[in-house]
Amino acid sequence: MKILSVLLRIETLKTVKRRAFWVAVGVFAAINTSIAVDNVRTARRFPDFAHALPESWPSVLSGLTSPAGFFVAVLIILLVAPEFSWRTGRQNVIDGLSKERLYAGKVMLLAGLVALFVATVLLIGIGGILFSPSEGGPEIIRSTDLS
Amino acid sequence: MPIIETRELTKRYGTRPEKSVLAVDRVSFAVEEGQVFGFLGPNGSGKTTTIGMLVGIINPTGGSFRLFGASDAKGLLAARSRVGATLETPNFYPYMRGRDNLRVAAAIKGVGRSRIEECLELVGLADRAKHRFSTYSLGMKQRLALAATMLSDPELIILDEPANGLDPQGMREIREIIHILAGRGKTIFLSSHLLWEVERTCTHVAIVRKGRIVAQGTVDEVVSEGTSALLRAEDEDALAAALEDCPEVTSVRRTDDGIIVGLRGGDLAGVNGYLAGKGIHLSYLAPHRQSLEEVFIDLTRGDFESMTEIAS
Repeated sequence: MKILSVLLRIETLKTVKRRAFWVAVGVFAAINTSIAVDNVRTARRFPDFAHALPESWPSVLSGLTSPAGFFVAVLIILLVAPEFSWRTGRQNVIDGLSKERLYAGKVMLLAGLVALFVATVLLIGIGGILFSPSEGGPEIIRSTDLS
Repeated sequence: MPIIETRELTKRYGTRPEKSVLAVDRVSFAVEEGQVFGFLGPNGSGKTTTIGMLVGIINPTGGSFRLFGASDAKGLLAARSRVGATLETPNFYPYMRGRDNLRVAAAIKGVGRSRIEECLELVGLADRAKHRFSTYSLGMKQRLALAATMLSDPELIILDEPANGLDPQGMREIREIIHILAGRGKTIFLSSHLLWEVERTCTHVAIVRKGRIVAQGTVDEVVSEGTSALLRAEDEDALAAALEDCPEVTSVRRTDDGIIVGLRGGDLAGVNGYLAGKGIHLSYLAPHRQSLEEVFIDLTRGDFESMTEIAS
């Protein structure tokens, strides 16, 4: 088990210092926020159809899955390609990391990021269902809270 | 037990015979503990490929090798934890600070943080470790690579062209670090295309040409291998022509100083008598100790393109 945490630490160390990674995260967050805000607006504008909050929180947030798939692809490219172009992957292997472990670390980091994303969306969804009023009540969650 | 031992190690790139390249051709050598072993050859002679096979990122197509006596996959993996190595250029993450790059290497090698500072200190990079790798000069990159190889305090250090592209000051710094490491009893294997670097740094040398080892031994052995003599005469053209036919002579090379010949038996009087018989009278005749550079040029004759770089 220790080796897994070491692999994750190595990969995290490489990634958190990287500007390209944070730019990608920022773009992804911005796209998601705008989609979610847009969906919430639609739901509030047309509450008569199947859009009414809080019942429609799942469909509001399910709109986030398609950019998520794209983002995973971008992340894979970001994590793997430079190891070849900078020859750092090769150096990692020379330093004693097997190729399998090098990629295992990347898969673990990806899985961790996906889990983080799912957890965030879940929290927003649960929070929305719990706290958004059905009718006439005070607004606790506003669309701007999602940003 | 030799630290490194190769037997008929061979690497052929490509499978189709007409298109394949024989990069390393039946290379056999042994590096004993405590040696500073120079792997000397022109660019493209197979040095990096050989090192690549030793560090496990290139698969040999023939022959075998042992590291610390191990030759099977599991043994080699364990043996490689006792090795620090670089291949070609220093390979680091350009966006990370020097120190953070070493943290990645240290995490891979399972080494603690205090060791990072020690290694940075040894290569003189402690002051610049907080700057990003992409801002480093080539000399600093090379020194960071040296620091990374030393992190795990390995018994064997393999360096591929450690002084490549450095100015004389930078080369001297690298050389001093190598001397310090050798003084601590480390075994060092370094490749180079620079003769004087090997001559000044190494205890042992193997000279490679087109994937084959053409000479090896201690630097002194290789330098004095074969007897040669320096000759001068009034008419050097006639002298050179006559020497070509002399049975005692194995090689003839004209220099600014005179003509240097390789001799089969070391019989200077015999050569003198032969030339006198041809009507050529020498103005100078003396045994000649070859420098490594001359040995090298003798052995790699024909590689003129690469030689201009080597001789300079």
